Amino acid sequence: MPLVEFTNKGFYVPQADCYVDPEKKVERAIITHGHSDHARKGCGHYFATPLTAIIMDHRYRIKNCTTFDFNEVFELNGVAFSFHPAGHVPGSAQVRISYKGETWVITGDYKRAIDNVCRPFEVVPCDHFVTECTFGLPIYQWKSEEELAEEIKLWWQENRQKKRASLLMGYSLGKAQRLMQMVKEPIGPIYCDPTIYKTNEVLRQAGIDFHPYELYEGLESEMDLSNALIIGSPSAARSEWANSLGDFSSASASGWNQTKKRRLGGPERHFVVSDHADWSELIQTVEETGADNIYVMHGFTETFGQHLRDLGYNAKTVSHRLNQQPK
Amino acid sequence: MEKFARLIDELGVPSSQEDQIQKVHAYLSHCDEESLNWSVHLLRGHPFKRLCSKKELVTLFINHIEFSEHIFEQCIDATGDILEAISLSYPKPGKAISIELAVILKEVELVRSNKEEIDHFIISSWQKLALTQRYYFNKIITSTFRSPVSSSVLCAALAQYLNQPLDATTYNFHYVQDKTPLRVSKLRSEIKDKHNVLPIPIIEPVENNLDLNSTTWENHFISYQWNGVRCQLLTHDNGHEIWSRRLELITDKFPEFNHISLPKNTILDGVIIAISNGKILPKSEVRKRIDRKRITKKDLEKLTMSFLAFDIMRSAGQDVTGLTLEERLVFLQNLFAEMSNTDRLQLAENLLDSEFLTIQEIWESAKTMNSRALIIKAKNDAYNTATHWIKYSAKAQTTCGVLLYARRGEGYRSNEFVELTLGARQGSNLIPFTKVIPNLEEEERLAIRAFIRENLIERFGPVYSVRASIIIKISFDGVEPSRRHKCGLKLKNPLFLSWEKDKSQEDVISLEELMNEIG
Repeated sequence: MPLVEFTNKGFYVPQADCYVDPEKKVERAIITHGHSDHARKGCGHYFATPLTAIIMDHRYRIKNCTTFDFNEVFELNGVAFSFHPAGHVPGSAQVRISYKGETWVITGDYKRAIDNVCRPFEVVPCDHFVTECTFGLPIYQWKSEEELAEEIKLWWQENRQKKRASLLMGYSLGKAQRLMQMVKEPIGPIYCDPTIYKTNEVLRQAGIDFHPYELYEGLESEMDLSNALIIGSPSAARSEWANSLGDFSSASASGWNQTKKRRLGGPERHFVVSDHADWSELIQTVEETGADNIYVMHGFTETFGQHLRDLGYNAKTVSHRLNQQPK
Repeated sequence: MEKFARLIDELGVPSSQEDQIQKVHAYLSHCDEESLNWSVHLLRGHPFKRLCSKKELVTLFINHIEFSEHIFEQCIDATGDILEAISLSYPKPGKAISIELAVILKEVELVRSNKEEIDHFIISSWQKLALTQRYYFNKIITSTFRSPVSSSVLCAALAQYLNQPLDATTYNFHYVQDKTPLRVSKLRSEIKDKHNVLPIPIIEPVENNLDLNSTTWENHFISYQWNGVRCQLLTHDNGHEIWSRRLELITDKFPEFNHISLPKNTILDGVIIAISNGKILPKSEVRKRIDRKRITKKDLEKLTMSFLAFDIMRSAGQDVTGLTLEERLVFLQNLFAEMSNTDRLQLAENLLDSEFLTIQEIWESAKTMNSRALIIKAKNDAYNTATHWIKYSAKAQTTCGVLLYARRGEGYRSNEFVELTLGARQGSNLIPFTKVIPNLEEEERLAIRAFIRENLIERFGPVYSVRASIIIKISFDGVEPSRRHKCGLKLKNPLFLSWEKDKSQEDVISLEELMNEIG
């Protein structure tokens, strides 16, 4: 019996009778991070890092969660589990599973870039490595955090000179906080839309340092925002909330902005900022874990799997939805 | 290169003309001189000689990457653009080096003569350039770079940069026709000061298919729309110039006008027509002359080019654009009366003045003069405010062709067919005679797509050859002879009308019928 099985409910560890990032309601769930495609409501009991537990409570009202710090080992029916930083969003973890000398690591989502919010990714040596590959094509190559910060700062400065507000849009958990902290010395006040503000408050209380920020509810019509950076959710520019911003320049921050065709229309500026590993980082990570058996999931699995096979790995692609065993 | 790439990226975002001018101006002011010249050369859309083809670039790329060709194909799918896929997927430089545009283009010029070094040069440039810069570098060396700005935006930015009036800059911009990177300093106002007469924006007639017999036309000036190239002929202190409608300077293409005896400081509006054996030839003959690099004696003997003047904007230094057409025509007639040598210059006459003709008869006679439209002007219109030049033309003809080839789109339109090639009958064969852009409702679009996929005979890259059975109705404005087309003719302005489901191949027009349409 393999230590980890791939089922339509998620990664199943039969020996411990629990799932990692289950897609359906199960009895025991180990959660890598708080995004809704990984943490779902309705399971019997949860295991997660303290920060992920707080996020799950805030976003999905999940209460029944046992928390373990990074690198802290806990056992379920003789199987040793531990969380290790994945660098994706605050609290995000890889799950290490070890039983009778066999070690698996399930990454959830991860990035290798070091931002000012998340604990950086740590390589965990293993025999079986389950990796995401959302951006598993060679065209996806990210700029360094410093270059991105410089770009965003420059854009903010230009808008300030033109007396326009700067609306920067990204996913409300993880990306928004990263963007907010990216410019190390803010050149104006920072405002957040209500969703992001609430998330920030929760994270701040949990001990994460942020630049001073304020709530912008969209009702204050006489506020001077001409030198402000406003952090909004991805669809903020099109919402009613943005009506009161006055003259503003909008920008989106996403890894998908890498290709020209994704930059057509929508906001004025497109920054290529991703919370996932790029092509070379994916390969680098696979190499560093020392694993021989690689399971690729989520994204350009066929392409990335094929490339790993070309490099001599025993790589298989995994898809939950089809309830298939790896091939 | 970094600043240039950023500028092009920024100009790609839809914005107001003012904004664009500002961006270009800001860029020009931060450029070193050589890069400035090259930037203007590229931005005005002048060609950069190709260093290598797209295909060669792909081969080079595939030989230098560490992943398989299959993965590269996935990258092309994801980007929808081969050059972008290459630029993004070649490993990024450890630390991008900023290279000036002029420096890298100079290197291209150096390496051009040395075939063996081209590959090495391209690879080493890729290793130095950041991703977006690499993209524009690839665009430039494969000669596929297209300027995102119009010439008016560029002129306005240049005027701001040179700190001189817009009209002088515009004039010089069009006057200096260097093919190698032009020197921006040449655009300073000296040229204009030397010549002191500028071409002015000409009036474009507005198409209007009114009923000719409904009104009387006594107060109007009526002429054929001559089958020629509209241009303005101007003289200044140092000679004469001919400017086309699109403000190309074409003086040197027509040496026959070198000895005209117009008074200085005059601007005439008119057309250049080609005449052979007393017959007016299609305007493609004149266009052909303009496209020639060098004009030989033989060219001059083959055809007679004549300038037919129908309006005057400036008469011996006096600006007459504010006067009415009637008053202007007096100036024009006096001018011609005083002229000694009028071989090459002719005066267009008001056809209504010949009493024997009604407007209907004029219209009928147009075809014998190889003209397909009448131009009708109100006699009391001034040149600078006139909005009432009416173009009365024949209604478009319609015909049917059979679908022979369909071309797939690129990028996000890659599963649509964006161009259809139609065939006409010749004996028992079908000969392709025109291409049209389909304009179909969703349902028919899907049906035609399904048909093309099912009835595919052969694929030539993006072009699908299909079994001939779909009949398509098109409209067109006329037929011209052409040596470039296999069928020997070219339709003017072909437009897609409809998919004729109840017609069969017998309804398709034959090539002979089309040939007869040639005027």
